[in-house]
Amino acid sequence: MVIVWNDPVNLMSYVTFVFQKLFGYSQEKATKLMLDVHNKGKAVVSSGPKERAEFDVFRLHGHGLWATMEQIPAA
Amino acid sequence: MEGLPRIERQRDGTYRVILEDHGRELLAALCIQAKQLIARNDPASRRLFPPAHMEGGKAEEEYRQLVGDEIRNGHIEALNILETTASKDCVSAEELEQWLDAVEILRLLLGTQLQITEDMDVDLDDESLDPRMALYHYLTWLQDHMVNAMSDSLPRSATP
Repeated sequence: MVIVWNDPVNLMSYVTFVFQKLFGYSQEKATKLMLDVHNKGKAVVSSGPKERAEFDVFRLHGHGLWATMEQIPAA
Repeated sequence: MEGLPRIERQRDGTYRVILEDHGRELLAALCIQAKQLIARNDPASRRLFPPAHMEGGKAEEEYRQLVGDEIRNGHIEALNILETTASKDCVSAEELEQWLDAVEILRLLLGTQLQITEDMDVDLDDESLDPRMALYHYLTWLQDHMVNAMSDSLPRSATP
């Protein structure tokens, strides 16, 4: 899964815009994820196989967001 | 602040940029400085290349090898485009996307240098203020306007 972390520089409007642009999320979903990042310190923004997660992290890094990837813990 | 910019989407999909010459020159100069910081791996530029794996190690090394250059080249390309098109009154959607990426880079670099925190209370009229702080807020304002102008162009049929 791909996690975006809160940072003091990135604008809320910019983070929402990037989520919409990269993942095709609706404004509502992108805003909710942005608020999770802002209020809870992080949010899971996508999940999938390792290659997909790596690609998403790469695109988020290309847009200046602080993103990391983690394996989903076994249930 | 005088001469605040405006960015307006036009019917043909291009964007009209209303910005004083001084602001345009400033953006171009900041892009040159940013490229210099990146070229010499200045500590402030580390924020532009965050780790993909919290635990570091081999996985992080592999990620860096795979995409490190591409991320770096993407940043340089965005800065080059803003530097060379900052004087234009009308830019394409693709150019404005690069402007947005470049202004993001400039804000990350300045924000790191100024050690910006979320609850920082800044009085822009304070004469003892680091002049870069006013610059940072100018870029913030500009980025917010770019995002607003570009949000209209996002696909309406986005997935939920």
